[in-house]
Amino acid sequence: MANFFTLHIERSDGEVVLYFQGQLDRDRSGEIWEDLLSFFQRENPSKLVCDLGQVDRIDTAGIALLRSLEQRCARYGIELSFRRLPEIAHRFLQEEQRQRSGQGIAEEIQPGWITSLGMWNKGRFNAAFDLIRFLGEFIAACARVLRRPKELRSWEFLEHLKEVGINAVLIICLLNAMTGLIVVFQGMSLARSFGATIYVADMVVRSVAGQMAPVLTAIIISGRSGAAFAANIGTMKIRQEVDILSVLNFNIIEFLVLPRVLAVAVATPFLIMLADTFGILGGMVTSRLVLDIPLQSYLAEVQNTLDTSTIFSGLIRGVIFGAIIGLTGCFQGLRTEHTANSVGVRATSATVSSIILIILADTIFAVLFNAFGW
Amino acid sequence: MLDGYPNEDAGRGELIRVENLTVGYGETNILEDVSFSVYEGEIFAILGPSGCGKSTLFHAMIGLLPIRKGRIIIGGEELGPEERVDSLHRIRHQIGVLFQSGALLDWLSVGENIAFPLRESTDLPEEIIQHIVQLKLELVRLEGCSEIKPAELSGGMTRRAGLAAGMARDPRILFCDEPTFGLDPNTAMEIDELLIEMRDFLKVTIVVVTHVVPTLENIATRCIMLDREAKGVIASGRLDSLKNDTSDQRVQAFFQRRIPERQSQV
Repeated sequence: MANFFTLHIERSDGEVVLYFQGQLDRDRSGEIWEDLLSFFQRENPSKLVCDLGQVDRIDTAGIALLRSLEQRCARYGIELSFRRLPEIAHRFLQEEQRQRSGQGIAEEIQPGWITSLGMWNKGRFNAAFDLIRFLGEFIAACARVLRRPKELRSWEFLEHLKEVGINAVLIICLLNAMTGLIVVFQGMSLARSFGATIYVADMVVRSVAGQMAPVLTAIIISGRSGAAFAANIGTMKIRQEVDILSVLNFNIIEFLVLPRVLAVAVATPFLIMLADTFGILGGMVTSRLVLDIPLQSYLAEVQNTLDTSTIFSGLIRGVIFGAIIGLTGCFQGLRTEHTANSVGVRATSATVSSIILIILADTIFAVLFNAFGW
Repeated sequence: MLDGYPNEDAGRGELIRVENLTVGYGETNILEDVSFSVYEGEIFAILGPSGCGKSTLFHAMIGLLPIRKGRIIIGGEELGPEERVDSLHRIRHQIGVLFQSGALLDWLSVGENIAFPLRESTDLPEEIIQHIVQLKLELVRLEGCSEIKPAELSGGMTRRAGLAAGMARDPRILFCDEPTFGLDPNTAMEIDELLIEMRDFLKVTIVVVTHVVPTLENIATRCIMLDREAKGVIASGRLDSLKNDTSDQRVQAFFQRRIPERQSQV
């Protein structure tokens, strides 16, 4: 069988005959289509006949080409007929077949802006309703466990506490110590210009312990644990483990969500305290090495600046940030659909939305603490 | 029994030749010295009970499992123990695969799953690709399902959509791994009919791995039977001769659903 294709054109009495010859298949159809398009640009026949008697082989790409040709002729009012169609092409180019499939490729219907707005809102409202329902179920589960504390899945809670808290200690200590170092370096020149290098200790306490440590710690936990919660629950959902638990009459919120949220809400304030400590220690070591500030002087300055309200505000923020991370991660995990990329999408969504919510909550805290004079 | 069985036009030319093939996992050889041929236009079945090496052979034939010894020649291109990327690439250009799960990319719609290999490996314009998608969906009777995501399809529909995706590039050979496994008898029958239609209309040669006897009876032109202990082919030929003429107890046990007689262990 010859591995070629030719398109021969004959004109007579206002009729143009296209003789297809050789192989009309996936490897050649693209090229032939280009030839046909340039033919239509050159000529404007009122009647077109396609003769396929010398086609050795035709596959679905070839039939698709004939269909495209048919559709184009219909659009421009050209009368088209086929001669000596191969059996397979005949089947897919029959009139009833075209009618059944809706006359070729249907034009895509673009929705109007009101419909688009409605559809967009519908999606948003669905997510909002899901969230309200989730929070309602969570509060109900908390109330049940408060009434009967033995119902708390304590083993799962401790497991998650270890994963969220203990396993995160090293990275949080390291990053916050480095933050202390950065603050000292940043404030050094300013403090020197006033001849009051000792005030770098104040800067470290105010900025690291007061603001940066809680937020930075919460962001790290969000990236570590919030995303893990979403991925973990999402995978369970895809593997139908969540369905099995539901069928076995487990309350999904009590079984999967509550231990995780409690673990992260308990672990975060402690991690923030640790972060405060290591931020101050990082600043202390840097001040000693770079600015030659005696340790006693640095610690005395820290003692003067660091008040209980700074520590308590960190603790309160820790609980709230932890709850935000846990609830966001679990909510996104439970919204996972039955597709492979959905887990990734939900894990990313959990991290991004919890970071946004953490910063939003921190802004509210800043305003409230300021109002209360903390 | 469906109309397409057996296809007497088969035997136009050897399309696949497997010669002394040895494949396995880790330290174990699953199959040793397996040889057979598949001819153009036939529906060739690889059958046998679970664990006999059907899927291993299937994976070796589509280039997903390294060959330890022997060779596989598909459409003139050879696969052997030495890795030959260009050969494998040319072989894969000639084949389509229907995996047991349907193996559709779940982030794409059904139509996009069919269009995807065409966009990636041909220079066809988008207009033609859209018509091919529609044709393939008509072939597997899934008209109107182009925009649906694979997760929304039933088991039978997923298998049909997988078949359309496997046939997207009009391959010369279609490999099917357990195409009807886990489907109800009517849906399985529909898949069998579709495979015969593909062979008859699109002139594709089909290699099917299955242990579902009704499917074999419906579609297979010729077959080979594998056995775990023999680590190879224990019977080959037309299905009716395997069923009726063989004296091998293992073959009889497979078709008659009974436990093969074994020598006393005592």
